[in-house]
Amino acid sequence: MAIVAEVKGLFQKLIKAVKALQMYGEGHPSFNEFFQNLYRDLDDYLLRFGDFTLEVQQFGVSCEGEEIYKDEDRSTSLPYRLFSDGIRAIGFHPGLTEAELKQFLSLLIKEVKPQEEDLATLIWEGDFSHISCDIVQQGVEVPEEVKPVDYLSERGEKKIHLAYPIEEDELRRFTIPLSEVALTDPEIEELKREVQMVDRAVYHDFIISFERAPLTSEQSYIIFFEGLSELARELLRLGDLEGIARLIRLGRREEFSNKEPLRLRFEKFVDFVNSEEFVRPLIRFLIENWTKVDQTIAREIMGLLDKRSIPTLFALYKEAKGYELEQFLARLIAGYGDAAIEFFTKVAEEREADDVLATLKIIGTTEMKDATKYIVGLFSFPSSEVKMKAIENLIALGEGDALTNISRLIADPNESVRIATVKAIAQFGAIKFADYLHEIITGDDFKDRSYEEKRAFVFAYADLLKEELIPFFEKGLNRWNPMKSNHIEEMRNLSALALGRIGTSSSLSVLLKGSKSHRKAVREASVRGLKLFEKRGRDDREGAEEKRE
Amino acid sequence: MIEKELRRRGSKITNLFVVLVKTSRIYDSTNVTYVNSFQAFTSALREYLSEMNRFELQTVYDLLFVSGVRLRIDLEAYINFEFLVEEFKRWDLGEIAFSAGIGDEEIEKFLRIFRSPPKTDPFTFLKETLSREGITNIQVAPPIDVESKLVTEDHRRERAKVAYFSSISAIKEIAHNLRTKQIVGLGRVKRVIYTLVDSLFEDESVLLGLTAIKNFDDYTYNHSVNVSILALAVGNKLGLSKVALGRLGVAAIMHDIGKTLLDRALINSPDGLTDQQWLEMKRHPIFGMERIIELKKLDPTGVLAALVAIQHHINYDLSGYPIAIPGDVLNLFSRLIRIVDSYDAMTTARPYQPIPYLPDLAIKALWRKRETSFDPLLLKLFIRTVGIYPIGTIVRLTSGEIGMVTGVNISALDRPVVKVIIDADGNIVKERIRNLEREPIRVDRSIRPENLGINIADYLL
Repeated sequence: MAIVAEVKGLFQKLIKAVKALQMYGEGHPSFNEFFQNLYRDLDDYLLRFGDFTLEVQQFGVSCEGEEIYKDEDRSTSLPYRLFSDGIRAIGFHPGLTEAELKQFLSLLIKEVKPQEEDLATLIWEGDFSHISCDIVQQGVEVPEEVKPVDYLSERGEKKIHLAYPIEEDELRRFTIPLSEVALTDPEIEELKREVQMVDRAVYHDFIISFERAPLTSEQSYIIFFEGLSELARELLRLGDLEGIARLIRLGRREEFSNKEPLRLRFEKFVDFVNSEEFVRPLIRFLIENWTKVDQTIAREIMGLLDKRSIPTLFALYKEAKGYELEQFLARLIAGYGDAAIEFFTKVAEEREADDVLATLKIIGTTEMKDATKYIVGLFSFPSSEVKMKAIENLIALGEGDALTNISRLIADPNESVRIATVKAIAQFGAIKFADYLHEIITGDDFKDRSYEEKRAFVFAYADLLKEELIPFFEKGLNRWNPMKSNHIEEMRNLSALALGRIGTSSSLSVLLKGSKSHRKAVREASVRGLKLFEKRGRDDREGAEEKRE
Repeated sequence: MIEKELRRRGSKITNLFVVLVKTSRIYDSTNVTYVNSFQAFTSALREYLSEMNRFELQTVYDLLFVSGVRLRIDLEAYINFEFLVEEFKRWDLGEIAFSAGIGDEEIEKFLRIFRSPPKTDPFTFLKETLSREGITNIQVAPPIDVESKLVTEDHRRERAKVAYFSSISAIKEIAHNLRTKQIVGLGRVKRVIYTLVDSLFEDESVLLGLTAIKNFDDYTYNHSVNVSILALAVGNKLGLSKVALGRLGVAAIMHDIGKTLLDRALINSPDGLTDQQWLEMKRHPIFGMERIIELKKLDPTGVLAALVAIQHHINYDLSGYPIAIPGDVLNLFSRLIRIVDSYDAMTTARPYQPIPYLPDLAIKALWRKRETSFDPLLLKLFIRTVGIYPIGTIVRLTSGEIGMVTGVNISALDRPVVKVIIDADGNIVKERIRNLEREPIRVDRSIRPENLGINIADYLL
């Protein structure tokens, strides 16, 4: 026996939760509060007292014959809606989960498609484990008596035509061997396999049948084309890429593409294919099944994607983990060429450094052509990391105008850009800039630059030409400085460090010689150079050992 | 516990019980396989008993029940459940019940006793041995009285009847609306089919019996509902989910919807069709697919219905109509509908076929066309569902009695349960049931009910 007073309270909470869901939607804090309140109490009740049943009347709900709720307004009354759809009782059972209850409430507010569904069918399809419903069939009379029609006497003396030749005597003599009717284990397994795949097979076979069927009704073609997106969505959910490819081929058939109503609907389908709703799960499917997917079919579908899909592909790229997947997505995006660059430009306008870095990574890893203008545009970007990456990309691209732009960057008014540029030049071994660096380092205005910038330029120069520069740095190390020029001292120090950085026996002998110099400044600088030399040697040795291990 | 949950957990525990019984007959109690299956069964059983106090495993005919709820004997459970039904028969058992508080020792003792029955009175031996061994938490009972079972199923029968006639009314309404070009939706059809599915879960024999009543209404509607029920019964054996069964039922009831677009005179023509008429008739699968697509339904239900409509006259060897090319794969559901559609059509009198096949002869005729017209595996499953003598078949027994088949014995397909209508002396009999599997009587031959003036609807409704 249900505790009516408690059930009454529960039903009122259910009504509140339903109204909150209707008003605010799922996920809204107000609904969540009402829902949690309901679920907590309902679960508690079921644990303490077990099942209970709500009896549904036209405008009210009862429990154990006692009315617990009434609403006679047809436009709002939940009992009225349940009753109209033939639901006469709803049972709640212990074990009810939050998800089940939420799904149940969402069905109660769902706007049904008239003629297609009602609450009774929706609840049945919901296949609840802990909510049951009693549904009545309305307006059906079961006949008291049923008499078969006697076609034979109706015919009189007319000759009988048999649709199936009945060879009665022969069939009576024939016996089905019962042992053969038993299903063997392999046969059971075969059927089980087919049952597991049946949802997918239904859609697939439907499309093949539609392709072949000599349909006569133009209206059915129109509706089929109207449903292409719905079909594609389901085919993708079932993992049937071939089915999607078939839809595409069907849409492109000449006899259909020539017909305006069908062509327009196919275009709408193409729009859908390019929407995030489709592209996202499609790519996810490809990522997860890359080795199993028929590449020709995959390419056929990807061929339908146009520049509209770039934002989704880019969003997926940013989330992607793993080199292979990143490469796959980067190549897809880069494949859109100018459209991709146009999209990148828009991304840069948003001023999100991480997003811009992602665009540069795509350009860099795919060696995308015609990206120079975009990259150069990034030199004015506020983030120095972006600038650095932009320069790296530019150098890596190595195109004519890219080099021109590098030269311009080395002379950029902003020191951090200049430093980033030379560092990138060194990192990418862009030897063609060596002369230009020499020109700058030996130029008159170099002395006015900060020590940090001078170091970046000297080191980059040393990294590019290495041993070739030993005489140059030896000269810098030993340079006479009668006027006590700060710049000459800085250059002495940097020359010694550059020699240490070059790290060959020739550069070592120059530094050893310097360390015995009678001039204190030369000695001190050489010792710093030697320390760097020793440190780099140690690092190299340790690195080599680590590698060996 | 809700019926669905009871069915799910009941199936699981029953399955584990069978595994344990089998394992106990192969391995000794220290073997790891035995220990594992023992633990699996006892933990599932105890979890159940903590909520329900008693786990009752029963058989009625060849059907398995847990606490009154029928278990599905689908492909997954096929071998284990058949084994259990056989074991119950060997022991002349109707029920084994496990009560809360049951100990491991009791189960172990039971398994030892349950190995092989004595030749005489196995049930009494089992019951007395359990008592002597002090096993109080496992009780056994003899087979349930079939008559009392029939009485308790009255409300189910009523529900099945309402579902059946509602289905006829729903398909009629759709056909009428299509013909008169009114708005058509699948809502009502879905609803009646879902009720049929629920009835099927409760007791398929009632519904299968209703399919034997033919020709009380327009053939197409009557036939469509029968095809739906037969397909659902086989689909249930295939282990389809409830929702998948719902879709299959809708597809089956709609399979001939294309015929609504044909001239009614053509369908009801009492004479053979001319070549031209036959060509027209062959277009109904195409019309069917078109009409279903035009219902603007390309959801899983609509797609399946359209597919079945276009493929239901294509044979297993891809002959038939409207079109299939070598290499095509005929869908599982279409192959299934092909069988049940043919069976129901063959066993139903129509204007152009006033003498239908007797059900058992139709089964034989289908069997002879396995591999060509019909999928042999699905055909086997179909026969295992309806039996060699389907429910509703009027048979003469070797005892001289005449009766109607009311139940199928899965383990003895040619020995059904028969409700005797006329005894050997020609007297009308009211409440005599013969389960031929348990009696030394056989079916002699099937008989046309009209030859004896029998209206099978009087017994099935």
